[in-house]
Amino acid sequence: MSIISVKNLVKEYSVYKKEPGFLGSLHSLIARKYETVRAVDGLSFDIEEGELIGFIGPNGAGKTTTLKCLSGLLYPTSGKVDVLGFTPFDRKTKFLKQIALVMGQKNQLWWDLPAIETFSLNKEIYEIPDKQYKETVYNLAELLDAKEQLQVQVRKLSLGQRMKMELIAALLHNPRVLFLDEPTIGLDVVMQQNLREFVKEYNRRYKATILLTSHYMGDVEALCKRVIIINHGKILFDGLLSDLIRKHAPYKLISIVLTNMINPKDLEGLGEIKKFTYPELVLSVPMNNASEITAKLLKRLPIEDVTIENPDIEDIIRDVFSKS
Amino acid sequence: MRYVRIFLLTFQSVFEERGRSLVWFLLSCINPFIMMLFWRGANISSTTLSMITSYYFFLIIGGSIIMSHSEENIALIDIQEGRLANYLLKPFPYYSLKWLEELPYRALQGSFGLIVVALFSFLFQVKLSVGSQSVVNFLLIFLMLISAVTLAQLFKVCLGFISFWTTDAYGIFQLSEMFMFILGGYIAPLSFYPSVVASIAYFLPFPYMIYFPIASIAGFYTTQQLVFIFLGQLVWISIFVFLYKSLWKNGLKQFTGVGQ
Repeated sequence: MSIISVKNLVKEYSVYKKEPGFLGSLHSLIARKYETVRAVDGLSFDIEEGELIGFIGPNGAGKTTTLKCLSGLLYPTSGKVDVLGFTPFDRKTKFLKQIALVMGQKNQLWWDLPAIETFSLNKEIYEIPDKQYKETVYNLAELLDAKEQLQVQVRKLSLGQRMKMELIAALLHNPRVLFLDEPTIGLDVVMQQNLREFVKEYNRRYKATILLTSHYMGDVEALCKRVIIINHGKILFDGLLSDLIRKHAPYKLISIVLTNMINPKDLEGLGEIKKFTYPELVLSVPMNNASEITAKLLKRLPIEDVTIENPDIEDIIRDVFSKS
Repeated sequence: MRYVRIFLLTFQSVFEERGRSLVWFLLSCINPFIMMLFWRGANISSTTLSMITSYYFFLIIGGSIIMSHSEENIALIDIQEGRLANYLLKPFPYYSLKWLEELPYRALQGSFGLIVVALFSFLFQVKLSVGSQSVVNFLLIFLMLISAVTLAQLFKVCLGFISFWTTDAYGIFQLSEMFMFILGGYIAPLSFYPSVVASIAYFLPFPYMIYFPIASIAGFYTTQQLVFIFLGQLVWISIFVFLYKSLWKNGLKQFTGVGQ
């Protein structure tokens, strides 16, 4: 049974449009022009318990709006949303105690106090028993390698360290459903990797259902089997990441380092040349024939090194968007 | 106990902002001090002068305990910057949490008030007068103070909710400050106003937040009058509870969580 069920979700905003210049300002004093913007346009999907799903889309695609509707922050214009058997916007206590939303660009921590004080506040708000609270803080801090920072004033922490504290604050009550909105934004590659490993481990250890939005395809590739791609508030793809690759990029890239110069005509019929700057050669070949063609290349060409790779996920996503 | 623990936790964050809190308090003292100095130069009897001086001193303490500025915080930070999202995600009522966050500020400002009034009473050799009051009166005054704090907080929160519909509610806040200043008794006791203005003021919520409780402490009213004032406060609290619920229910449908 689905833990999250969304049917024809629509969210519209009314946006004030000002005409340019001084006259436009004068006109706006008397009559203002408002335009309705449809941020989410009839989304429908279901998510099973324990799934870790990537929610992908360009800026303004409707990702964050959808997460806000799912967590009960926004009132949908129309459609039906069901999370853990609750209508999110009712914001029942029982519902709120089972979900968490972490937004990479905003924080809930007290700026002038150590993060542990915010955790104590959340302990009271979520009515977490003492024993469970201590164990959870210990486990999460250990998992995130953040024990040293618990007593440090939040304003003195780096962005990455703050993000770790945000995650602990959001996960203290062991939510069954976790919405992560750009959790790795602005972080360096090492910290991004740490957070990815944490999210993966959290999902595995606590069987939590996680819906993740990110601009970094690395996050999605590393974490999510299933992806939902949206643009202009509509779903473009909903399925396994492997199916997405197969559907939109049914080829593999063979990267070769040559020992001697070759004639590009020797490669005719083997694949499409993507790049050839001696000694480097990159060929795009049909996915099903990749190993057969590699064998042929090894026989025909003076090769020092060869690697076979899947196409870049970012290129695939870009391709999906360009076709939408 | 849960509420007490949350209150104590929020107190810690207020202690970190004690400097700012002191400055806000001192700014709010300027007007009562000017008015007090003005009255000290007036040609009035020493009894009246003692009552008026006591009124302004009580206004400094009472005003700092009763009057919050939550509306700006709610409008600018919670609604417009989207910080309300943090509150909405918590399984705890928004009003209660804001209240528990505001109480430490009121307690801190009230203690500043007590220190400053004690200091100036000593410097000006002023004896604070509460008139001749019975125990029943003090009990009623205590209840009136609690109602005044509740009413003021409800009023300010409702004012802040206007931001659900407007992008800039600052003008409305300034206007409400002006009404509070004139009709709430900040300039002078309402009994000194022209009777028409005073009569209009009595039908508005402003004097029930500041003027009546402060004037009651200063001994302006009889027990019967205190009962009527207290009932008036309850009526206004009921009106603002209804308004709060309505604004909250409809306002949330407008909330976009911008910046979140």
